[in-house]
Amino acid sequence: MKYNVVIVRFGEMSTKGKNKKDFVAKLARSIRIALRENEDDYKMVIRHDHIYLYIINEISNLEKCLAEISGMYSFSLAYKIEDPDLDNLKELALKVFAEENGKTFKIRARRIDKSYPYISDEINREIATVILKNTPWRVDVHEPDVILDIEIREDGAYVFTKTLKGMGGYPTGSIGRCLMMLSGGIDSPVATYLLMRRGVEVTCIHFAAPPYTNSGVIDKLEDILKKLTKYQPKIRLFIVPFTKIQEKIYEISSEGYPITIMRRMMYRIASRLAERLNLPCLATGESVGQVASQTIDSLNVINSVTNLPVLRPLCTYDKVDIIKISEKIETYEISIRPYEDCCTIFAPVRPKTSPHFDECLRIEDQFDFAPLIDECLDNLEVKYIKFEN
Amino acid sequence: MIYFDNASSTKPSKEVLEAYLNAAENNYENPNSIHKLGMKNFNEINRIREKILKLLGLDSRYEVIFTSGATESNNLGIIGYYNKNKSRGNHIITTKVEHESVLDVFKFLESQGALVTYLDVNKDGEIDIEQFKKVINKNTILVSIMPVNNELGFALNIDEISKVVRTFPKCSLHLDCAQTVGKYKFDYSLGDMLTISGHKINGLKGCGALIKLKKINLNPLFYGGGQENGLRSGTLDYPAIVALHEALKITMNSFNENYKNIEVLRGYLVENLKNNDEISLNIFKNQTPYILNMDLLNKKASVVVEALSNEGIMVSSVSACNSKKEAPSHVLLALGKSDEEARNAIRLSFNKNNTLEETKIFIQKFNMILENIKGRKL
Repeated sequence: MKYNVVIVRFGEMSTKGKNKKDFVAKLARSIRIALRENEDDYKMVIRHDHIYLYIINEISNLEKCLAEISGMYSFSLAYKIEDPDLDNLKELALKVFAEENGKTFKIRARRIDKSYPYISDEINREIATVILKNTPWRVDVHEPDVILDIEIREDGAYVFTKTLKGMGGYPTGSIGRCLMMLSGGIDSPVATYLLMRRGVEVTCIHFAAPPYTNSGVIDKLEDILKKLTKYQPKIRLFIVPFTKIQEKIYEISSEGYPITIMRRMMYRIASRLAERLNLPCLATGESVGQVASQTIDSLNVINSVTNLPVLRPLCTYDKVDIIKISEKIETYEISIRPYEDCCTIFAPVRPKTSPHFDECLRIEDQFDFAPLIDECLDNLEVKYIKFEN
Repeated sequence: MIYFDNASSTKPSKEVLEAYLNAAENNYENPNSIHKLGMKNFNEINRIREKILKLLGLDSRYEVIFTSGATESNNLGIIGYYNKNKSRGNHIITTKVEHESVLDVFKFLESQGALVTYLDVNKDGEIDIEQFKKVINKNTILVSIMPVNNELGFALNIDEISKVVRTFPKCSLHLDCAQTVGKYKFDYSLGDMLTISGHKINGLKGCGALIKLKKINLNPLFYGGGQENGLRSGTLDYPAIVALHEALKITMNSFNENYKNIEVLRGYLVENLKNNDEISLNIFKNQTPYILNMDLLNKKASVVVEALSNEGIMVSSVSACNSKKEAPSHVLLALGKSDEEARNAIRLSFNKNNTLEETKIFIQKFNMILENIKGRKL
């Protein structure tokens, strides 16, 4: 039996107070964007507790589309009948079980509309009796193969057996905005995805140092971000011409310090751009301990150049877990394309794992980087990556 | 754009594209069909086979098997030959400087039980003929060597090798001529099997040939409709074959004229680069002018290639198939270079389309880049 309505349940938004309606409106917008090719095939009704999508014509990849929308806890593919008369429910339940696979079942009725003449338990018993008498199905209330949910509402009864997990988190853009430092490796796209899922609208910044980095990296980034437009339909990417700063750093840095100084410069530039764009925080794909610049000591020295909060969604993730997510969101294959990123040419043999503040300041004092930083910010290139099918 | 990466692939010439398009539009019928249009294409292909042999100076003892390109030709000529003839001996010989489509095939056969000798090549790009004589024996059934090296452009002493191979009647000589055709004056009849490729000579990708003595028997690599005497099943690609012939015809007919022009270009480059202390040119006594290889002494090759590419000049580091891996060039290693040197060589490779003006621009940009970018030793 084909479902005729989808019940969408909210994620953590149900903990919100008066601003909940803003979150719900953003979720509704995300759904509209995800289903924009089928806008005539369904009708959306927003209620305070759920969003209902009444299906007019079948939407082929509906389940996949909904599973990729953040801010949705779960959704059920339900069959609605206008008249929740007990006989109608019995008839419907028989139809449902004729099509389900399994041996044991459980009925789980909820009477939201208290004017309905039977209480939930009476509904459970009435429906179960019909099933037991007319089909080989048996009851198992602890571990049933199939659970039939019946929700009695003022506008009718919603009956469903299939509830799918949503992506969780908050609707895209409902939490705030950030500037993500994107390298094109495996980690930063995953961090970007996790932020988007949590409802953060992400703008990206990439540091390019041609010819030390390959121009293929930019194509690669665009391909990665295209994958992520599923979760955030429009993404801005700023590309910083970083070559001059990079060269200067390697000229003046002492042994083991170039990467630390380079990260400090990147944070400085990112902070300046964030301020200019009114973005209240930065984000990175750093994972504690993964490389020398990501030890706690290094992060401390690097982070100290900015006053903005820095979100590090991957901070406690193991590489294997990061890779799993990147495979799920289909960025892994793109990330491992063989281009030199972040200047492998300059990578010191023994980078410092616990750099000293004083040494960083001493190195940076040797040269006035301010004009070069201004130059970077004056010569940004910006790309807009948009969702396309 | 200045394109100095012609050993990777060349721009198809207008004549080739026209010939292809014309055949693809008008002669699409399957050459193996027995109606008159199919027969017409089939007969034309047979005429083309003869013309190709003639262009390469080969007589009717040879035959042409059309393939998808040099890699397939090398596989067919080596694996197909080995599988058919291994009962006569189990020893096969190649060099350490071959293209992967030969080297990896030999490694594969080695894993299947073949005895393989990988010959050294000396600093002059020559095989030590005495060493070769010691290695080849009655059990040797195949020697495969490229006459002109794809990375460095040196020409191996095939005439000497061929003379020795001829004294072993069971042994055949396969020559991977993908980088030889159009680039070096060569007597193709020195080989018993020859690999040629369309896209290296201003033809199209996806078409090449294995040319072999009729008396040599091979096993096919794939089975099916039994085309090409059962050696290469699959519908004959008539338009691609027409295009391959067209490309070869233009290349061979203008060989001398192009060769002289390229010698001038290369001479200019060598003259302007030989005193540059940032680089060391890899120059050989016998070599094609179409390839100029150099070691970068202080800079990283991938960075210089990227910098040139940003200036609109396309060159390659190692060979294009290799250059995305971070591996050193096996050819330079074989010639006794250090790992560091073998990772940091760049190759310029030319085509008749290149001009002296382009080499002048190259020198200017190249010097600027070497001056500006930071070195790898810090």
